[in-house]
Amino acid sequence: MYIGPAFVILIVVIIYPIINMIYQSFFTSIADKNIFVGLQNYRLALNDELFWIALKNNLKLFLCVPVMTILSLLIAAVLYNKIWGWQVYRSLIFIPYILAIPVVGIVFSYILQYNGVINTLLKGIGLEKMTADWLGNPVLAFPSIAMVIIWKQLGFGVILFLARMMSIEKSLYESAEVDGATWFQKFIWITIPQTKSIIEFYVIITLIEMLSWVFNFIYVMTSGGPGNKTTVLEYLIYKKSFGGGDFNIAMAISVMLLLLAGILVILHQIVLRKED
Amino acid sequence: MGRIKKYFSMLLVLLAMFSLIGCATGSDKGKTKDGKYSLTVWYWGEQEVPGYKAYMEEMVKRYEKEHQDVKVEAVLQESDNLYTAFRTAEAAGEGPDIQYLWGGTQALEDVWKGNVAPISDYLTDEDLSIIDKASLMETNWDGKQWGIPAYGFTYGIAYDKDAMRTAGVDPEKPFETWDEFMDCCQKIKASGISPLGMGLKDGYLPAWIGIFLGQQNLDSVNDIIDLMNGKTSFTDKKNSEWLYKIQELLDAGYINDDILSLDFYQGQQLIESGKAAMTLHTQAYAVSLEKSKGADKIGFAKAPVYGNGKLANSIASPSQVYVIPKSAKHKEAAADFLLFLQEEDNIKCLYEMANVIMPNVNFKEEWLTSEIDKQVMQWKKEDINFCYQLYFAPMFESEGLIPTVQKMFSEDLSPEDAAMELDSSLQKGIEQNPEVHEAFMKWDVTE
Repeated sequence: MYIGPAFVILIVVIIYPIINMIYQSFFTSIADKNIFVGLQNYRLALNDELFWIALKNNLKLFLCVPVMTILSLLIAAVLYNKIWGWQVYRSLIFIPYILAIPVVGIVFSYILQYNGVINTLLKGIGLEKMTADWLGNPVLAFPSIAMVIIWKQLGFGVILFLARMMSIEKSLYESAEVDGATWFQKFIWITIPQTKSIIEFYVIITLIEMLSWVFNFIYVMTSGGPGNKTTVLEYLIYKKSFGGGDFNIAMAISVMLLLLAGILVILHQIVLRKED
Repeated sequence: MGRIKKYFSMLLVLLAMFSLIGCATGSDKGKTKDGKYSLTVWYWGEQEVPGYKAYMEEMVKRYEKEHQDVKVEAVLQESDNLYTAFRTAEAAGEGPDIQYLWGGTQALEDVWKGNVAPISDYLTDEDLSIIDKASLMETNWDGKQWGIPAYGFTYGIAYDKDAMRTAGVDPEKPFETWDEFMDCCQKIKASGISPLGMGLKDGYLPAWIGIFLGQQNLDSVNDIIDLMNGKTSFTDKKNSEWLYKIQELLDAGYINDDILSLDFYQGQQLIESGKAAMTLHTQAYAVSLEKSKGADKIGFAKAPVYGNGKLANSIASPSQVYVIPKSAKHKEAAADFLLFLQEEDNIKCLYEMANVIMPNVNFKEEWLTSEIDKQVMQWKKEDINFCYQLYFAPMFESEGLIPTVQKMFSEDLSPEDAAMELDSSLQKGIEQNPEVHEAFMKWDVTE
């Protein structure tokens, strides 16, 4: 009875829309008619080159996860040693995480423009050869977005790992020091094993984010361009449904994205249970 | 047990309250607190027609004065949300009473998807007789009228007359043919600024380039309908020569170097900041610049002619339209408001406040105050009116034209390969939307 209201909300807000989306992905709508087409929407989506470009881009974003994890761990470990001004650094690193994505996207769009801040600075210090159209170049556009995502999300990992490190038994470090362990050895043999469960949690959560949470960055910074080079699955769903009005194909792609995210969620649950 | 009963009854009470609230909203939908009917208008236009927002607010004021029982809620939409918000609302059956859409297939696509009610069910032939026939044809399909013009406007090349003078080009007649245009660009480039200012990031530009150059080898509307239906191909140079013209501009370095970093409107603003000499614009925007900077500062030219089709010399003077969504609660009232916008005083107000001409037989040429408008009116009398973009097949722009032209700039995609990509995007559109394509095939455009 206690969970009744929450359960009702869960059904209305999450379960019903998901079931409806799966159901509608087997139909095509034209005017007032809803025609059953079986797996046709899935076939059309899978035959669309854009689907594979988008999926590949999502998978490429997975490469951000090890980068973010390692950087977050290192920064957290440095802050854990309570270097001078560590609380200020901690706040500074966390600030990007609390900024709204559209704000970050727009600001970086200006910074990364061909005649934007970065290129102006590079020209100013005589590095004109290093200037590039960071968001307009098909090779650089996606890595540029990935860098912005890493910059924005890094703070979450740092705070998470730092919180866990704070609760590690001090005696472990003290005995290692007695044995003459270096900072790096303590990091490898004490910090990482002790934060393992949090690292696993962070990795899986971040993988899910890279799959189904990067729409805003793409929408604001590149609109999927140039030439579809930065399209991801979420953006493709948006483009198909609200841009092209192909709601049913978009629903088929959504179901496939849901399945991929579902696999990661199951993996997450397995890891959590293993830890328990 | 007693506690369970208590919570269960609380839940029932809550559910009953929600139902009552639901009923109340349902029965009073569209009525304001003071008992007036609420007419919702989702519109756009300020971005290409400065002053349109102020005009719409004036129209709302005038209409409410005449109709004390109506409260008009006019909501200005962002470019990115114009279609998405409408389609989402329509999918939920919660659309506005009046929706603004871009003309031609950009409006008819939503007709074919079942999002729009025929306006001719609510307006008589006599009501519609005051509107320019060519303008009505843009949204006439299957024997019914689906859209009514919000305003008409003309595409052209806005240019900085001072930049022309500095470059040694006659600012009153800078170019007519493609060769003259290239010569003009070369002189401007030599004078130290970018000849053309454009932004390609958000994807609106490719269709604009098509409007200026795409139709020049075509002889009739049916040529482009055949192309969009896959009966002819972009690999035929007749249909793709304009892609080679883009390549020429690119190779010569006549376009701003940050085109891929800028959104469409940012690219247009380069002319205002003095970083470019020319940009693709609407006559309405050029007139607003003319008014703020002076007639000796801003000029407006037709697209340079390179083609040899009957439409080579045409001008693009289409209409943006208002439609009545299928889910609109007050369709008759919506039609009445749309007809009100066509009244003589109101079309005059539209011109005075937003510099655009309503394609309405009651529009008086003597109202024109701007030199650019007078020039445009002259073009309209002399040339065929044809807008390439109005006949794009569904999905062609988003899935084909935008990425293809972006690739020409970002990946050096050749015009030949671009033509093939455009063909395959059309095929993909047909495969993914056979029903919409069928509706498109049924579109009979009277020439």
